[in-house]
Amino acid sequence: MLERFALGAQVALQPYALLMTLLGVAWGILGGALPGISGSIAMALLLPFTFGMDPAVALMMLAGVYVGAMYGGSITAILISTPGTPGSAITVVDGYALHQRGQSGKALGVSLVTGTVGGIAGVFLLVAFAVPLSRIALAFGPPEYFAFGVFGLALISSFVGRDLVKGGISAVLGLMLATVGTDPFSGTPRFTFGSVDLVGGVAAAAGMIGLFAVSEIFYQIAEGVDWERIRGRYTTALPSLLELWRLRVATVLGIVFGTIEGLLPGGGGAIASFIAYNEAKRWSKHPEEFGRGSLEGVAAPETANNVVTATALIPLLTFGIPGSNSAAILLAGMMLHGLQPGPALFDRTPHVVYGLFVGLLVANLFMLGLGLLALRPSIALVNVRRPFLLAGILGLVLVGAYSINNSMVEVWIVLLTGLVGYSMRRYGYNVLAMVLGFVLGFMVEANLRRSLLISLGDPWVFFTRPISALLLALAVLTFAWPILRRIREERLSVAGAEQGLAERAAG
Amino acid sequence: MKRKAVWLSVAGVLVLAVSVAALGQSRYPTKPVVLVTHSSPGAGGDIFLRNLAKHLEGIVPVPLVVENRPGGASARAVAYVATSPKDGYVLYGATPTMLQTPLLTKTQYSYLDLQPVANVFFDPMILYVRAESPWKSLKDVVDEAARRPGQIRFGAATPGSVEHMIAYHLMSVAKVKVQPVTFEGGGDLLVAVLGGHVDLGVGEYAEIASQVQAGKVRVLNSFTEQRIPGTTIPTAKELGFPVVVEKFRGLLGPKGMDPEAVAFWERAVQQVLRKPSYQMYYRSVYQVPAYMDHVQYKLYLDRMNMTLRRYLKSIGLIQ
Repeated sequence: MLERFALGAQVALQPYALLMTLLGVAWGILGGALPGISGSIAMALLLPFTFGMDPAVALMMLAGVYVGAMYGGSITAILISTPGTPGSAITVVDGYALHQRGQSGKALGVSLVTGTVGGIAGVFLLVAFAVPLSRIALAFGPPEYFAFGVFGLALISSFVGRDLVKGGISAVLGLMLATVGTDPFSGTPRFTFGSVDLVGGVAAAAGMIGLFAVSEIFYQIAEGVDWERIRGRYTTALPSLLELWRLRVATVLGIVFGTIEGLLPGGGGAIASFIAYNEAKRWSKHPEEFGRGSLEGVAAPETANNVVTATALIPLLTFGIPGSNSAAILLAGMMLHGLQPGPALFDRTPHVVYGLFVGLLVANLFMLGLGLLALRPSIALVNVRRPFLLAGILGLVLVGAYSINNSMVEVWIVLLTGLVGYSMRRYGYNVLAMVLGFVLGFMVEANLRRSLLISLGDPWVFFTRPISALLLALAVLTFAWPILRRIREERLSVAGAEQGLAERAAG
Repeated sequence: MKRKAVWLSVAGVLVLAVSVAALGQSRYPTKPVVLVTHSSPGAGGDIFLRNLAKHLEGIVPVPLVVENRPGGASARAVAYVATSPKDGYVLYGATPTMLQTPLLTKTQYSYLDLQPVANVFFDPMILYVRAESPWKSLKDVVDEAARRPGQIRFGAATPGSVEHMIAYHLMSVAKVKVQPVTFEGGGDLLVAVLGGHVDLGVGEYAEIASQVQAGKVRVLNSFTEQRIPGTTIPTAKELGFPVVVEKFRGLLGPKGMDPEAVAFWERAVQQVLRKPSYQMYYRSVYQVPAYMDHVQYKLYLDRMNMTLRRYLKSIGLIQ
């Protein structure tokens, strides 16, 4: 193993390989920061240029893009409320809140540092436990995926705050949006209104850009929030070491859930960051800060995201099955060079596999360096008069929406979902709950129906299989926890008030 | 005098235009050719075209540009190619999706608005189980299915797909009933088979080849006309179950495409299939060369379209 690692280092630490990785990371940060250009698209755009390279270098460069795009995506999530991938959707909540409070540098710095920690932890897990971890992927059948998705949906109760009914309605709207497209079991088009453009469903990126970014722009325009107070408002101060140390619990939670997410090719790619966020909130000493700008609320999902960059390679390298869209492009990169992923790859071309591992480590360090360099300029970019900023963002996201499929359909979807999101914000509905429903809806539905096919119609399949039963039990607890706590708090405060009255009466 | 000059110059321009046109015709191609795919970058159709383009270097004297036009389950790419100029500078890298989408949904353009140019490959489809499975051959599966009708969990892709069609045809040929379980992609299905969540799966050989080598998966048979080159996998046909369905990959242009350009590409495809470096590549990903000229290809597509339509009708997806 060490020998192979040395072999990988030999390949990965050549000046040319380092340069290509650096370029990859830079391109990834840039691509991730452009709405609509996700990590996988940024990688795909680079794919043709890697044709002539040594396969190891080509894969390192692509992995560099993958890593860089994760941070790039969180730049937009934090600064303009536009998540690059479903995985960074939840980062918007606290990241953007921190930015609005002026602590942009801290939010970005936390995302960067915890992301690097997560990325490097992921590489170590990948190197040390690839084979045992790959068994987890096999243990997950359709009932387990369904239960995992339900676990994700159960988080809604903790995101929506007091108004469970409005939160529920929001989540159902998201689930409804996810049903548009070809029915996964009968093959008939659903809710496409005869339009061939909707046969593939609503693109996740388009729905998220609309619901988060465009609705935020509409909201700011309509409400006239802070129309004039601008310049010098956002600070670039980085988080202190003490502040970073306080994030250790959130970071570890991010690593745990990110690892699981990466292993599950059918997981949808967003559940880990949502769960990590929720657990970080539960374990936090200051849960009340979540949603209003908690550094832990940025750390947990951003760690989880970056762990996935490494652990998604486990099913890719062991089964040839990509654990995420970006891993799929990496697979394409391997195929282009005639490399068949699978157990034999480790023995046949160790310099490629271990070169890729070392390359990932290097890419994470490059991401930290480049991210620190890019931090000030990117904050300066949004530090302009609000009308300019909003117009600029709107232009950027519309171009991004167009670039998803090079067509106007996504532009209309973005504007429409933007209007929906705006009305929801206006009337106290929960946009985040809708996004959660939207990104998990298809996976939950497909796996529910698939499980019932597999069990030949027996619904007990979800409870007789241990992992699925456990996940469903966790889902119930997760759903009930915030509600029970709220009830208890209310009862305590009522009791307290009664006691006060009694004391006063006695006194 | 003046008028004469005008006439002369007009004549001159005409002569020039005609000769340029003639030159252009005899020397197709003179500018970059765009190869359109409905796949997103990195997906099967995209990889096929990019590799084809790479190996056509030296055979085609102009740059080849791969353009991704995803969306609308191939409808957008087909519409783009169908409405392109017919001079042969826009070609479409087709897969069966091109036939399925217009059958399932109303689209403005279908393959009938395209000019078949040449088929390049078949992607062989196979039936597989995990190594722990007791089944050694297709016959074991059929026997078991006859014993326990509707209880064997047969993993395939969405109804309407080639994989599903194979499962369906196989069952009607063998006169047994199974429980079809659909998955979104071949990779998801492979994990489910490996994990024992479904009993067997049908998919592309290329997708599972590395698991076969690792001894994790056993291939029962292929659904090809002849055995997959370089393997001893029996075909379903030789086992007595005549089910032959292949995923084709080929090139089409807009209807009415310049015949000279069609002929040029027929030659280019034949040449590239003989190129050793390309052979090494396509064998490594288990693509089987299946050249057809534009006449054969048209007949093949018509036949495939009819088969698909009949199948979609029989499973009740279309009227």
